Amino acid sequence: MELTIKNLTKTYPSGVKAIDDVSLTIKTGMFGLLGQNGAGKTTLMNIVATLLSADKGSVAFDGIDALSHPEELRKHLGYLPQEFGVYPNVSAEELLLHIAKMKGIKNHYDRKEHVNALLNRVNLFDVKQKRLDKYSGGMKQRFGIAQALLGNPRLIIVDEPTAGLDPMERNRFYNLLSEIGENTVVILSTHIVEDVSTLCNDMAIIGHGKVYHTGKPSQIEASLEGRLWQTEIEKSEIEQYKADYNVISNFFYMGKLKVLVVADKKPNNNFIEKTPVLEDAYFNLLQEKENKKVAI
Amino acid sequence: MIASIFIYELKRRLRHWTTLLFLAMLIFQGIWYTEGNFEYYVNEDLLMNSPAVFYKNLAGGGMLMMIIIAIVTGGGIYREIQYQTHHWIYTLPINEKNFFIGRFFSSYVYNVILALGYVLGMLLVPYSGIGEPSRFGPQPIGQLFHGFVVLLMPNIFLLTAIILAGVILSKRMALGYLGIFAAVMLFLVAQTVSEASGIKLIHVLADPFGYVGTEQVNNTMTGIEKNTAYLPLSSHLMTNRLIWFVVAVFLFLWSYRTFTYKRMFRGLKTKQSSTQASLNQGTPSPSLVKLPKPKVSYNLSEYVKKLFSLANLEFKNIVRPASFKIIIAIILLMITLQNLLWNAQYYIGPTLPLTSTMTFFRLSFGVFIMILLMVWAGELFFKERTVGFYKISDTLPVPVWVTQLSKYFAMCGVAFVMAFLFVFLGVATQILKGGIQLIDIGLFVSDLFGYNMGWLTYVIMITLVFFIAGLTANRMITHVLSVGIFFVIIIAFELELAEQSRFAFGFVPGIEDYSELTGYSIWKVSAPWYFLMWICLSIFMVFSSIYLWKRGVIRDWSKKLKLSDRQLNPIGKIIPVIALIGFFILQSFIITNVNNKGNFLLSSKEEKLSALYEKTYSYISDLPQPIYGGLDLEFEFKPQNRTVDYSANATLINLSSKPIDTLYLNTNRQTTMESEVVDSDYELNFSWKDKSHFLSTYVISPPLEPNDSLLVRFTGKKQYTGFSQSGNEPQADLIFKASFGQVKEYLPSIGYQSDKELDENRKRESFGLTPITSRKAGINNIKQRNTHLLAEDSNAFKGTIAITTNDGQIPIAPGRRIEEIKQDDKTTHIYELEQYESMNWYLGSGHYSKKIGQKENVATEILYFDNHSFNIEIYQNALHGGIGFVNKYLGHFPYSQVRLVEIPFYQDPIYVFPNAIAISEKEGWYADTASHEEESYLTFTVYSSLFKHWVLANSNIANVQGAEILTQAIPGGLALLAIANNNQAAADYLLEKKWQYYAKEKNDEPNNEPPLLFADGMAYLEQSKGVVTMYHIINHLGLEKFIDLWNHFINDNQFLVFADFFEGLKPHLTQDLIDQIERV
Repeated sequence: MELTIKNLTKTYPSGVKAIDDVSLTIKTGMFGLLGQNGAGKTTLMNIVATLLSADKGSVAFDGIDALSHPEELRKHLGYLPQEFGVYPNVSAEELLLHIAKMKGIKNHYDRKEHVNALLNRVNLFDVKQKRLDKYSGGMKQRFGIAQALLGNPRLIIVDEPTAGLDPMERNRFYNLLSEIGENTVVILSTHIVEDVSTLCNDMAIIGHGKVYHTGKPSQIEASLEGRLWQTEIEKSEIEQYKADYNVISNFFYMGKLKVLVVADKKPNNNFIEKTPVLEDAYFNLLQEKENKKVAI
Repeated sequence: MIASIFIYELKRRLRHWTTLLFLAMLIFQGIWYTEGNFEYYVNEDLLMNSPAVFYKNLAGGGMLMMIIIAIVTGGGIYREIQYQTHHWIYTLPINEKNFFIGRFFSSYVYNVILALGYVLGMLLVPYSGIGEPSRFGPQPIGQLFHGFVVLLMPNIFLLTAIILAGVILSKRMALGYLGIFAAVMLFLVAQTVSEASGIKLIHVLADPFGYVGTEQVNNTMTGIEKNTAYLPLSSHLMTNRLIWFVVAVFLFLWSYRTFTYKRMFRGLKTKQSSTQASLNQGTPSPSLVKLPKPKVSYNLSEYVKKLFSLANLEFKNIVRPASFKIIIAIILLMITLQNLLWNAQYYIGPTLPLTSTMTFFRLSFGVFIMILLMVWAGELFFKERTVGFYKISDTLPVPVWVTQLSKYFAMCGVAFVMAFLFVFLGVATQILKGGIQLIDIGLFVSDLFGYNMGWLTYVIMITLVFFIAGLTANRMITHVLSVGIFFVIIIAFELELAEQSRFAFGFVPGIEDYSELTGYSIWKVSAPWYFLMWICLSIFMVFSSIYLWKRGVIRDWSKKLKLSDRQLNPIGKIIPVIALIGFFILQSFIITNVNNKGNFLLSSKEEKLSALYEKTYSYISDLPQPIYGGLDLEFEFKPQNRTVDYSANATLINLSSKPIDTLYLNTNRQTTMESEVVDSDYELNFSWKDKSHFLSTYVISPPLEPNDSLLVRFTGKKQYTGFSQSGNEPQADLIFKASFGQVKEYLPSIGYQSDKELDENRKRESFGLTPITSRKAGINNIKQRNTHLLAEDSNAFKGTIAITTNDGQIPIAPGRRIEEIKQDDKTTHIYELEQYESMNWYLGSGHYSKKIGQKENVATEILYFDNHSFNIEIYQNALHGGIGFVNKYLGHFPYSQVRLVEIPFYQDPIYVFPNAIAISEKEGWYADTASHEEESYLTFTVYSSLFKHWVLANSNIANVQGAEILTQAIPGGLALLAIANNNQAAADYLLEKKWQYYAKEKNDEPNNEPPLLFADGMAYLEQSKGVVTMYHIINHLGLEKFIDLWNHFINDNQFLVFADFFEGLKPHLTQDLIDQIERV
């Protein structure tokens, strides 16, 4: 069971090239799609989720050509879009039952059981009779998660799923997704690096519509091993550091400005080595691409 | 701060593309409403761009403007809630009252700016090409400005205040829409009731827009005033303006006081908090629950099951919101009020609670019901997009046809429930009004569930919305286009800019033409074909909608039309093609049956033909022609085939002083006729025929000498085939259950037919014909002084008529019935003319019940529709009373038999011909005569008809000005006198009604109102002012003196001219009465 994306290209009528020759192979398990805002993640997700047509390329899932037979792919798909609305006058249970029916669960008791189980898992069981327009942002997001998991889809696409969730709910969701990801293809599109590093066994970094890098998070992290340095500086020094070193990020910690620099050896004695995390590798990659662009 | 909010908001709105669209729509409305309101006044001299027309436009505002105001206004306050911007906007350092004022007035001014499009449309009418240049005067800029300030601006202020108050009160748009809806309904009820029962103060005050008040003032203005004057603000109108302005100001002040950020925010926040609170109680441990593995199934039978269960869910989603329930409740309330209070009948009083009066609301409310359904349909279609759920729903494994058809069925279900409620309400109201025994469930069902503006029509309109939605994939454009198309259809047919029903999408012929005698009559034949045609188009539209509707984010036209698209399977793609072919085949079938079979001509073509007839053949009027001098007629009605066969032995006599060598005979489209001379020294040879004007000429050889005659046998057949396509062509002389027509509908007319001429001077001018100064020949026209009023090509004679009709039907004919013969399944009645009279004959056949009686030497007979025995006693008493009055005071009643017949409403209200009176069903047969006023009106119609018998049977009325004073006003005056003898109050009531009718109708005189002395055949003159004046004259003279003068007059003159009679009356009259006759 795998999703194969080949040479996918999409240009909007406005002329913006949102996806440019993207190729990915995604196997069973959690796959993270990491990228900045506007990188093309949502466009890619929309194409895979059959909401958008592509100009070129192909998307195949387990032998199904998703572009020419979207109706077949939909039978195996669970999709949580980045932004979505709900019918104002129905309850969560009612709408989930409706979706369950549309997802082909023909038996009434099966539907009920499935919906209730999901409502439990997303912690909405107690408010399942409430009208959806009275839900808070986080509750709505959990409803979105529940609907995406209805019908036991084999391909799950979740676009920025943890937006609006409090830490506890986010944690619950991670657990749920991990459990499901054991037997399904799950694509997690996000710009929150921690989500990917926590959950995914494979990932791709995307920017400007192109795939910058693919691999396992640990491999990507390892690419910086022994090359990542950290120091505290004064705010006024930041521009000088940027000019002198390959600064991939800077941030305040306990009121002090810290910079992260990538270098093959220790830049000076003020720096200490830092164990790289995925976020550092991600920043480094973005920085490299930025530098390349400037050089061109 | 207020200024900056105001300016920013206004600029933002003005820059939006919809502003241009709305302006364009209102320009369009300005042009069409001007045309429509101009047509309302048929006065010859009225200018199309007259202030009277503009004032009406401005007061009414128009439906498009109401809809646009409803759409755009609420956003002024609601936008923050809709787009969730209240979270930060309300935290800005803007004083909330300033915020409200800025937003309120920007909404108001934006509406006013849009309304300028409406005004611009009015100003563009002279350049739009819809009227001849002579119809336009200088632009009444001052009056337009005056109307804009006095009528439109306050109305817009009121509507703005209503909507925004609704939004502030409920934090939803629905209440704002509802407010507008209620205001429009109030306006419509006031307007409709005032039209039906005359304008009263309550109607003026209840109308929020001042339309009824404007109409009231306009009605009192002369043609010149309508063209030039500023609208005088009568006390009624002024009070109306003040009341509603105060209401608007109150709503504004209430909104100002009530609007706070906290209030607008509070409701939303509180709801979420309470939900959150409940969520935190008793939450089970989520991770313990295992997700089951349900079985999934995707096949056709599952999809079909889903279709209906989804339709059920969609249905619930529509009917669940409170706004829906409120709207339905208001509609039902309005319908109940209409059914309880309103009567769309001709006569002066209320109607008995018949089922047809309980279903009539579907016509007056139909437009609004359908607009509502169309808007709901559009909203449902785009529901996922509107709420943003489409990103989920579009990825679900359900075919588009299931999701879209489920919505379609849901909307059809909503319409069905509404129709069901209408039936329920209709039955309940009928019972409430005491009409339980009159309930006709079949009619309820066919009217409210059928295609006569019932459920099936709603379904077709819903289909249109779904098609446009699938095509455009844009919610706003769908609303504008679907409602716009609907309006264009309504307006175009209302203004007669479109005439062919095959272009009126969704509508069938005859929806407004239900008769209690004949049901939907001949339209029952054509309507199913039209409906079938619209069903074919609807099938095409439904399937196309599914095919065109694409899921996902972007709609690409090149992909929309891809044939390889899988949204429909091959059968699904073939069905709409077959349906479309079916639609075109049915269009062609209808053209064959309507146009090609001569059942319809475009009015422009008819007018052209009339003008051509006059230009080509007016010379015939100067040629001597023979006239009918005797007639023995055999007639056979075959109602089931809409056919009549006849043979007539006609004596044609030359009363001129010259020999006649050519006979001109006029027939009509549906008649085939042959003629041959019988037993005469003359020969009649066919010469030529003008097939466009159905004029045949025959050479008489040798020429027919003066005072000589020839006996001609006419054999002919008249048959209607094909369809009638609208209520304008009832073809009432040959229908299934109650045929009734003038004898010349079947037999040929001789010579030039002046009734074929164009009679409106506007149109005459456009065809280069000289304007008519009078609709009748002058009193000094020698030829017409010796011509019979009621049959120009006939002398006074006696004759026999044999009418055969189907068993079960009873014939109608002039004369004394002398024999009845039953043979097989036919019935033949033979009639004989008792007096020498001109050929003022009407023939017919219908399913009737009969009530017979005897008054002195006269046998009376009432032929009435089976269930219409309500007022039979009143009619019989009136017959007997009238005959008694004639015998007692006027000499003697001229006939030994008299028949009173109920006829369908398609024609004139009353026909009087030898031995018979035919009264339209709507003139009192099912009137509620509980009050004496209605009873006296019924008595008046019968009395005046009997007295007309007395006039016609004893005299020859010349066909010149003033003729109808003799045939209408004098009998009417005598009838009032007879009623006054028994009940002066009833007579006074009728006098007042007649004078009111005259005051209202005189301003619609298409030409110039003549004095009664020269009255030229207009009902508002002879039958209202004439009757009142003659009543006063007879009263002044005393009946005996009047009859004495009358008898002298008829003895001294072979042909009677009113001017001559007036000369005899004049010495005995006061100057005031003389002025009533001689002056306007």
